[in-house]
Amino acid sequence: MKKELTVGVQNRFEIRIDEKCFSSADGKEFVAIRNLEFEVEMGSFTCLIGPSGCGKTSTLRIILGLDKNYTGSVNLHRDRRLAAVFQNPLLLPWRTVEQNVRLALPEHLQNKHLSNLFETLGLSELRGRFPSELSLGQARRVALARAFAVEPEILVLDEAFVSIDENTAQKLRLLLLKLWMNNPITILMVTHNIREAITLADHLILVSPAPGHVLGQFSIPVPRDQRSSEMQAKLIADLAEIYPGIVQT
Amino acid sequence: MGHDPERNTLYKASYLRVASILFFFTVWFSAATIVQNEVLPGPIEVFSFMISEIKSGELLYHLSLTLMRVAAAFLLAMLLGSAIGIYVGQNRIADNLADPWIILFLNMPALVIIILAYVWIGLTEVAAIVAVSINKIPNVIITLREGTRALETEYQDMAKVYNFSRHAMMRHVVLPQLYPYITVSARSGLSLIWKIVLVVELLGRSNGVGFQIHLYFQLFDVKAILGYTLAFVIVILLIEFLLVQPIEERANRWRPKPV
Repeated sequence: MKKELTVGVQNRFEIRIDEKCFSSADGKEFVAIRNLEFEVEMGSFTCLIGPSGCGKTSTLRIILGLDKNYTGSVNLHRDRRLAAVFQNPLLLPWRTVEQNVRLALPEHLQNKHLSNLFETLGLSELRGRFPSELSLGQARRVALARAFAVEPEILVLDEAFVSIDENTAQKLRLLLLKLWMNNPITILMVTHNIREAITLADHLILVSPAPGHVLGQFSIPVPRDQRSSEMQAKLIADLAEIYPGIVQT
Repeated sequence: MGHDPERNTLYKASYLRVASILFFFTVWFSAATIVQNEVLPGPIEVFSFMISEIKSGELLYHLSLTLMRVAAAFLLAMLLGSAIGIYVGQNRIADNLADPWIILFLNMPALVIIILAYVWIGLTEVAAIVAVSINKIPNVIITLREGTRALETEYQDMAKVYNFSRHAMMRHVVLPQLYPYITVSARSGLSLIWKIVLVVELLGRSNGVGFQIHLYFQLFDVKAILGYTLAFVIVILLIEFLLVQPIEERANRWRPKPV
């Protein structure tokens, strides 16, 4: 049913989900994803965009190896170091900020100095705090710190900037970009916010409503710092014309 | 935010506790003075009996044996019960297989277990401790099973993504979530176990607080019975205030404090 192909050196990985079903409490089967297929270039910043319920989060869970109950294949080497920032920051409430970051570190990084990372993210003062003493924005920063601390090859972000005010969200996006510029790893991000996708990503993948499949792919050839607001607005308008159900202006 | 209000409530709490204990002794003293009968000796008689027993070394000898049995049975019950509870909480098949047995042992009278243990294993220390543990294990299992079912799988998913070792997963993700369930069963466990240990001692041991109470019951010496009981109650209170509560407080540091 499922093949986990392993390739020594990869400069891209492929995801093919033939079908992903959920069964609801009353026993009915619901197909969340059907024939969803795409590739991610290593070192790229790719964004999956689609309406809610189209299987974006399921796709990420499958890539992260948290969901094995699907048909298809992900040819991602098992040894690849992954990191994830979920919609819920998922910090362990009974451990401090620093402990939360350190616990995620692989063995060879155990003694790593985290001062620079905490400094960049403005967390130096918060190292000894417990998560219950943080705002959601601060908790998201800790989740980002944890993700970058493990020096992953692939970072997965699931709606990591929702439920906070736009100002804070924008600051977080800039922090993410800053961290990424220092250390250009592969990022796969899920969002329903087209503006966010256009600010951050260099490759967009548009997913249909359930059962989710790829409607179209689009690369943004302009470097991030040259993406003016007019250019972004025009891009969104163009995309909205081609994919009216998915992209709203 | 300041320390003073917190301190004040702490003082108030301990005042209230001391006052409540003093009230109890006053009532006891007055009742004994009014009744004037050997069946209800007053606190002074009981304490002077305790002091003479401490001097002769009897009290500490029996008390320490009982405490040892309580500790052994408690540790055995908590370890086995937690392990089984966590396992059946995660495994539906094991849960279905184990469920009738858990219910059976949960409802089996303590006396039956004790007598059967003595008959089958013999009148030994092992039999005594096993009998007490078996009485407690089912309670630990059902509490920990409930806790395991309530585990937040999202934290485990996060830990899987970051490749936590089995040990780290247990220590930093699973156990902290089970902690409230462990303390609940430890609390109720301690009280249940000490009650049953006395019965076990009464039925098949030749030392311990239970044995002494049995002995003084035959001599109809209420002062001695109360003396041994009080000694044990004091030990239990000390364990609660000096051991259980500080540990609990430390483990709960991360919880947001009510203002």
